[in-house]
Amino acid sequence: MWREEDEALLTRLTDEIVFERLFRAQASAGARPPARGAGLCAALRRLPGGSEALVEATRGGKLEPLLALLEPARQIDPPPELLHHLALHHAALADAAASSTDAFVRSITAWLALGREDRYLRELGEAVTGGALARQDLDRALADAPLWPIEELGERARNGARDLTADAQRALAALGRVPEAARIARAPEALAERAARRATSIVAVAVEEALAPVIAAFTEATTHGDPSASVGASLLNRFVAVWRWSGEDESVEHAAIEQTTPLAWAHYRASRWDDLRTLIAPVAPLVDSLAKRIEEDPSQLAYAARAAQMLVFRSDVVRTEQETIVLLDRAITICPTHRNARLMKANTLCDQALRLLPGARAPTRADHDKAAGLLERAEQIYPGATRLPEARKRLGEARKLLGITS
Amino acid sequence: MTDERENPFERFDLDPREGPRAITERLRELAEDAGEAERATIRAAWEELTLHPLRRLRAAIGARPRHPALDRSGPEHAPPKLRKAAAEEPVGLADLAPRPSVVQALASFLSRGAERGPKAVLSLDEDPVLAAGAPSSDPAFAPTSPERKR
Repeated sequence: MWREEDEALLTRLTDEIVFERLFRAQASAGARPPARGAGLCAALRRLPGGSEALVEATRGGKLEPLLALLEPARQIDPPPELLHHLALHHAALADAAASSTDAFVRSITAWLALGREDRYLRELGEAVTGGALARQDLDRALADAPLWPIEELGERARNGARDLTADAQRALAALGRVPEAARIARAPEALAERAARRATSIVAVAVEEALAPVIAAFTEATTHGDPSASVGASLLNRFVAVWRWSGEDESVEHAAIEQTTPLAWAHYRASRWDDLRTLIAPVAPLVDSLAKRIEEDPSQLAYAARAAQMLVFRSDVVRTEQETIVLLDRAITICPTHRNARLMKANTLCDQALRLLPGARAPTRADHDKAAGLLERAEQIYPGATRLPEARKRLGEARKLLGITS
Repeated sequence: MTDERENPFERFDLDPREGPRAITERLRELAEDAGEAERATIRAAWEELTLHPLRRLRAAIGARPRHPALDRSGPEHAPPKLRKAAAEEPVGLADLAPRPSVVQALASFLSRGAERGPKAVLSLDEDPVLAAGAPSSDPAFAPTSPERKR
């Protein structure tokens, strides 16, 4: 006689077989499936098309229909048990596969979607704590529960920060995608905001942890005077490594520019242009990135002047005048009142005008007009430009030679 | 929360909804059959799950919900008489591999075996039965290598 208990056993063992296949297909052939993972199949069976997907996976070994059901983004109001399973399943895959951040993001998505399921969490919480927690403590814990995996990712990120490990980098990348996960999960607005805030502050702590040894090395190297350009550049390369590891975090750009600026001034004041070029070359992508942020959000004034100054330094050591002009224009765009950028731009325009005005002989009328236009712009940009008086004088001589009276 | 190996509810197959008393009973059962090292681990899990309600909650939320058929499909629900039936389809290697539930059920038994240590397992030479029947030197079944022939 086929009993209800036999049916239950058959269902459970079928789910265990399917889950094994599924987990090994997603993680790796040698991965050990979690003991309770089969509950995921039981939860999937209750979805529309879930039973059919399980039958296909059992008989034909065809997993695609089942895999489609594992995507939290595709689920519309899934049962909370399924979200709970999906959150832990994708977290286990993230550990097992250790390759992409997507599994982490799917896990966070499922956790944040579970945050909508107050009743499920409360029932679980009350059953588990059985009155051992004060009401307000339980409320607080349950409200925070969907954020616990975010904190755990933060711990992973912090733990590997000093060594810039790949695991920590994946955790950081996933933390950066928390707003995306909250959007997919259709998390309540308050929960989405808290999740994003928590992730941002956790990332900041991890990046600070990664920067700490780099800044310490910089401080050590500069204690007994300025390091050589090559030593300075190699130290700055460590900032670049942290920047890339962190997914190009803005705070690394700030820190790198802060450390670079005094060393760059030392080379600039001594007119050591090759050294200046060597020193600032590593941080060029960081400066460009920060400049882009400021261009996109002009309210970011705090670092505009520093970023502009780094562009001015670079404008002094690039090979062509065209490159110089582009860099100075960018510096003025992000920091319109930047004195050095305006002075340099005005002087560069004066140089261009002077090349059009030979002095001893008359220029063409076209060159005269062009030079006059350049000097007018130079005067507008920085009336006190050091080369402006000489250029004005040369323009006056050209006017005489050309017989221009008005 | 992300590591199922460390989650005590999953590791010891506990139902978080049953509360501290049931956790204590189940862990006591496990501890009775466990070796010294495993017993310490069980005790640590017991402290973690029963003395700190917030940690218990955290572990419970980090544990996969149990399979709904689990409570109706354990060994205690086996039919009184099991009949052996011929398999209709050829048995593959995957069918012979123990299911995760079976592995988990055997975990405490296997760990006890491991704790006895390799020294407890006798080699063939030390086997008292074989040793009693074998000659003391130059056994008749010794290999006849060219060196030995000389």
